Amino acid sequence: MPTLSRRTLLTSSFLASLGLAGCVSGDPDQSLTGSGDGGTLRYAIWSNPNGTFHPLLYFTDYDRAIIFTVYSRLVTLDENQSYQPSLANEYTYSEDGRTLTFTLRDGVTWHDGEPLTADDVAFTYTSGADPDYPSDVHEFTQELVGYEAYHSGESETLEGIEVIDDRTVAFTFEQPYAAALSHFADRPVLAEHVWSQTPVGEWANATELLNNPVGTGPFVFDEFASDQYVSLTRNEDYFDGVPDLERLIFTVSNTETAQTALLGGELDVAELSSWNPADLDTYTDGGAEIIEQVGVGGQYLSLDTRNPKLEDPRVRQAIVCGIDRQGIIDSLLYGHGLVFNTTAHPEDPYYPDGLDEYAYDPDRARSLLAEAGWEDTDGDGVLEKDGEKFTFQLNFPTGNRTREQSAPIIQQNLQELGLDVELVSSDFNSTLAILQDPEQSYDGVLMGGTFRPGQYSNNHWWERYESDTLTELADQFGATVDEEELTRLVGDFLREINAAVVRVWLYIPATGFAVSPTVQDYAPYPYEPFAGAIGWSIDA
Amino acid sequence: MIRYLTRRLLIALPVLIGISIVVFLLVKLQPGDPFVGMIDPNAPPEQKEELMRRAGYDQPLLVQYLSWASRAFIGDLGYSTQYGAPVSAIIASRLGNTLLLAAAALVITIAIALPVGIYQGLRRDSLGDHAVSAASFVLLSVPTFFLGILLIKIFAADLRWLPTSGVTTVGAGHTGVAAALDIGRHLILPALTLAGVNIAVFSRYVRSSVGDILHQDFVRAQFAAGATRGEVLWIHVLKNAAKPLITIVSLEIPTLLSGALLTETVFNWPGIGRLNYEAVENRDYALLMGIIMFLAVAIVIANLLADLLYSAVDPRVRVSS
Repeated sequence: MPTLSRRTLLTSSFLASLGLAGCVSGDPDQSLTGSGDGGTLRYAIWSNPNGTFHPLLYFTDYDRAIIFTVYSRLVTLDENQSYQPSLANEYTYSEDGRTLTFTLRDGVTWHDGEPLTADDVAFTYTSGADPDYPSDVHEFTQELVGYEAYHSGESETLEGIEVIDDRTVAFTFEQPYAAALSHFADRPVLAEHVWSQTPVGEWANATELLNNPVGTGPFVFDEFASDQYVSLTRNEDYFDGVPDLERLIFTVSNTETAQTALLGGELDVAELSSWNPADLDTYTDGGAEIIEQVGVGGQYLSLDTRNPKLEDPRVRQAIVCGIDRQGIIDSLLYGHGLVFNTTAHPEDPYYPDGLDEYAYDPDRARSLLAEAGWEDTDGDGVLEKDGEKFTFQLNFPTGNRTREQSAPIIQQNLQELGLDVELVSSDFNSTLAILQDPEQSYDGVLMGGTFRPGQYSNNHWWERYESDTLTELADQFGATVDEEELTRLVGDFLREINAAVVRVWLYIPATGFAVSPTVQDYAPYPYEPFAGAIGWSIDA
Repeated sequence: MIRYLTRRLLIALPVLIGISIVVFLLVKLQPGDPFVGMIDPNAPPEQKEELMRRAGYDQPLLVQYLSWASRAFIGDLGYSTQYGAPVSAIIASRLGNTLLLAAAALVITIAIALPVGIYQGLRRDSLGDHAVSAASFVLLSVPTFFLGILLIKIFAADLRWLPTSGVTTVGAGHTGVAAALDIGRHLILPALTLAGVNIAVFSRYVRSSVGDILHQDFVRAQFAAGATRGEVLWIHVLKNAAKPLITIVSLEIPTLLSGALLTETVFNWPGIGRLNYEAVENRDYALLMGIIMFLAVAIVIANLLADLLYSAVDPRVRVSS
């Protein structure tokens, strides 16, 4: 596959392992499979899954945890954010970069014994384009050739998805589509024989099917006790080796008592909710291990760039420089976090250099504000421009403790610059409603989001921001599959966002896990918390 | 009797309709919508408008209300957007847990509050009475959340006698008697927490009503007629003192049914309280309306029950039109 290096839209580190690109590297990694002693691992989740155990329709991280252990994907991400074959053992891009062809592994069966075929794959991604599809249509789906005709009902078939034979399926896009693999890594494959009897328009209410997923993954769904636990058992026929654990149980727990539960032997793995050294010490004193990894979710302050006070980029730059972001990380996360300066993860292979770091510098912030015409003329400590005081309403949702605690710090930082900041908190849904109503003007809203490797969105409607430069760059890199060209274009795009300060990037909290001493080989990595699950084991 | 019941139930109907209208408006006028958390938050507004349209949430409020009410009237409470399941099935799945916790808490409450209250009523203003009163006030002022965490600290973290949270030992696979005992172990701490405040309240009521009745003329007349202390106490005092208690317990039933959000949250007890809270947070309109109407009906029935019991205890109160 000589063209693969330029035709795959992968991370730069993937290129280094080109020899393996798109092909299975022989046997499953034997080091992952241990003694096979069995045992039950109880993994804490903080809220009840909704029981929407459907790869396309789920919407909580807790449902996602079950889906990503019960179902399999065509490709998965490895530790370097490179794509590794999974259900597909080979994938190739066509010369023009518009067609992506997958060849499936042989002998994969669904948990009910039916064989996996290319029809299942075609069925899964076609259903997302169905005229009655009961959720928002994914960008990936809209890129497929013939999407419009199929979605509007004009055409009976979706031209862009073609089953070539039992093991081969091809996807054709309107233009070379850079982010395709990242979507396949994020959307597992459904069983056609299970879902085809129910019309797509009724899927969202197909409780029985949603609650009883049939997948091809390492664990077989066993039981969903709503608001209590979801129990899975190992798949003896898993194509990548038999999991060590006999059972994996996701237990609904809460952050206040998880520590007691874990140290008391009621839980085995719990994500940390605090980096307070005293909490960590309690864990380690009790024999638990602490695992820390780079976080994959970023917190930011969304700004209404159409608001007259904030439309000048210098004002927005001043706000970034005026907030002591490292200080927030140090005081609230005890140093366990990263500052970021554009809408991408700092460890993303495409994260460019040459960004303005916007280090904490109140003097720089004040002079930027002065350049933009904001001055304190009446000496009351609040800046004015054209007779208007610089008031700033900082909205934030309740529910995320660190975010709630960061609000008064930001308030104080901005007040030192001469902004009159008022804090307003309400529940998450109400706060999000501010951003989601394009007619509504606001000053600032604290929000958070999860990074998806390989996806660089030019979607800034929450910030009411549009720029011809950004649109042009996004169109270009969206249709580019040449690695060098792509690095350059995405870099320019992210640099442009950095200069315009479309939003204020605050911090990326580290992800941590407390692991009971009985657990062996628990080694999650960013974006794929369950990738190594078949190797996890429990000492009896 | 039948006529009385029919009349009461007919009066209840407009009350329930009124409640449903007010609640429907309150729920719908909240900012936010049920799809906020369900779709890619960055998806363009048109996509969400399409989902709102399909669910009928773009219709005028009156149309939406009538469509909900006409279906609810025949028992169809619709589908939860959040769970993709029928509202009645979701409520039913949590009701058992809520009833179990509520019943356990009520039994503990009465078992402790009744003797304590009677003791206090009989020994008013004694040292013991004051000591118990002081303890009640302390119990009354401790937030539920704190009491729950405190019990977990003592019994789960330090002594390791009882589990921290949940309904069952996850993964233990108990069956039969072992399973019932396992649930019982998990029930102790949340039931004690929930009973905590109620014990303080109930014992105050019992104390005052026993104390009051002891000084009534008919009680003195009984003593004068030569009845023993025990006879007077068991036959007359307690029967009369039970009347206000019936009212309080009946009125407490809807509160217990509506679930104890804080207790359920601290102990991960999967009851109605948590479900209701999640429904509000996610603007799960159908589920929220279903839970609130279920509680409204429970309150109406509990009130009716209180009146019927009252008349059974006190022949002076007749159920008649």
